[in-house]
Amino acid sequence: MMADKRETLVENLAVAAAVGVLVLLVAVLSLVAHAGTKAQEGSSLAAACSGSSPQLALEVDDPAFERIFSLRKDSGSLYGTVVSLRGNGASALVCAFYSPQGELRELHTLDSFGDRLSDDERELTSRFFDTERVLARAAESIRDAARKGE
Amino acid sequence: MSYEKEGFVPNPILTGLVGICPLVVAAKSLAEGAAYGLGAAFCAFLLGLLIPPARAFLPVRLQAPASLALSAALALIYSFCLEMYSSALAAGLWIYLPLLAASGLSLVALRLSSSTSRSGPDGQSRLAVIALQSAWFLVTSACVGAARELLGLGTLTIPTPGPSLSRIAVADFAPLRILVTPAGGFILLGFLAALYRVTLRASGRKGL
Repeated sequence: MMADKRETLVENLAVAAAVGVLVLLVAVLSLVAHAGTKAQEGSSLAAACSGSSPQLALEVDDPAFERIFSLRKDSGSLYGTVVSLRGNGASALVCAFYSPQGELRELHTLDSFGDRLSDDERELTSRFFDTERVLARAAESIRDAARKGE
Repeated sequence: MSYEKEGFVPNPILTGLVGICPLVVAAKSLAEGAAYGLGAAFCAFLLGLLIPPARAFLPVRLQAPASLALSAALALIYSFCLEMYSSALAAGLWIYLPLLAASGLSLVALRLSSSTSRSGPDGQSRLAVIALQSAWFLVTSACVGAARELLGLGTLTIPTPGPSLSRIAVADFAPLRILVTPAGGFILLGFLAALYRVTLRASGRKGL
């Protein structure tokens, strides 16, 4: 009876250790992916808005955007974020630039498909995506970042 | 087959129907279809490779949770690798990347790997069966994605690395816009299933 219990305990510990190694591997990969995405977003924002190199201002927990960057342009300071906009079966990554007051200044699509949309289709697409709410949440996060930066 | 001795045997209905739904929704362009198919093939092949040796030292009561934990970890590993390769692709596939853990192909791999017999239905090794099915799944997923994008948008997306994907404009018009929606994906899948049945009937074989 005692031997059975000991054997079960050893089995459980061995499986827990194996799962622990898997979890560790996934956690390390997630950190590497997180750093890679952060660098990609920074370079996309720098390319979309020819200003100073973007600095990470705030990390947010939102399904559409994860990081707010601050950057300087000749016209003053700006905040930028890469927003994932999705609708019924479509998605696009967009660089959104805001003033420190949360006013949307510029939008640049990262997807070359955006260049092919006609004006009517752009209008339909913007309706198609649930853009407004996502951009309003981004504006709220920018105001938070600006308050923390003061 | 003795089900009492099986670690984890997924329900065939779940495997066939529910497992294929993410493919229909996620594969809406050539790049997304190829990335989703590759992810499913990656998870299934590694499950087929790792589960049979693990069964030798895992007690039966722990085989099911360990198999599912491994499947989930492989899906997450693939999603992080894809995110590093192309954030646009990872954003496009969204929730369907973690769902690779329960894709139709992963469930087939789990079912075959949990089997006590050493060979598959045609006498091939289990890993060979999984590898063949993975290759077919990858090709089907990429073709479904390409057909939906070509007929629905008139473009073809190339899975290039980096934050944006490059698209080739094949036609200035899109004959069947409905195909880029999930409903269009199901319609296309229905036609493919019919084509599969006709091909099987013509060759005198019986379908699944």
